[in-house]
Amino acid sequence: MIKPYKILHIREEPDGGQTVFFRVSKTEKIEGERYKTLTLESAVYVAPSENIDNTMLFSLKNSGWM
Amino acid sequence: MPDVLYKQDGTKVKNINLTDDESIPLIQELKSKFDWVVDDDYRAVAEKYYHEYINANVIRTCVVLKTAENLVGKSVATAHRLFDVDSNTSMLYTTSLFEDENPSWLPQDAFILGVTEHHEEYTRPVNPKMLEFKEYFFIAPTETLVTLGLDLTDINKDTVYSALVVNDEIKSIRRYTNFIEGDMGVLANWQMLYMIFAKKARRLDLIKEFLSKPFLEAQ
Repeated sequence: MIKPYKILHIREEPDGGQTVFFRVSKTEKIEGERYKTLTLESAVYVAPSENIDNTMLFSLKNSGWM
Repeated sequence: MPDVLYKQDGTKVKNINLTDDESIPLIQELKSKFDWVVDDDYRAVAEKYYHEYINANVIRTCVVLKTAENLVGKSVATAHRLFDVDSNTSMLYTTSLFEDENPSWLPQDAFILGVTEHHEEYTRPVNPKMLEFKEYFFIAPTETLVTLGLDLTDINKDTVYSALVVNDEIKSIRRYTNFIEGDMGVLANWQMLYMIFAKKARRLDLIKEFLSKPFLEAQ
């Protein structure tokens, strides 16, 4: 199973939540057959009751990255 | 790497660059069934055909190499996404240099160039049959190709053959030919890709073995 993001590391927070550091890339066509790759490294907070993958997907879609 | 696929039953499946207007209805069909499809992820799309092993109507796309490499986390020779338009399922598959001994199901005088690796993608339903087979790309002497039941009409030096294999058993044989210009206008074929990836892997022994095949020039 491949996911559209790579989790770099996870920091456990005092409130039971997690801060997930991740890298995600996408390719955009510039012109003709030329492409550029955009890479984003960031972090997202995942509440104790939440699932990491669900939160990651929601964040990436909500931000317009995906 | 746009090409023409010939199935064993003679069906011809043309791969069309996304810059060509012929690709528009095919991409539109994919977008209508898979709302996450975006043009920028693809270089080409093939005509719809009935898949020999999956037993469904499929559309094959050429995925931008860098996009696929970001997803699978390694360098690959080619990348495609196969869409089952009957069940609205899909998979990403990549092809890498074949570095092992020849498997038992293939005549020993054949030479395998690459083999596919099939990937289920998170949140995207897959048809389980998509993950059951592998496709091996190979070249071989003419007499061996004939014994495998391949149609050798209109072959040329770029022609490469493939076998869809499940549990060491050939389920179907194909051939690919008529490669057209790919990245940066360079004419790419499987033989050229093999040389590039064998060199990257520092497998000069494989390059020597490949170049020693007498049937390379004959085809």
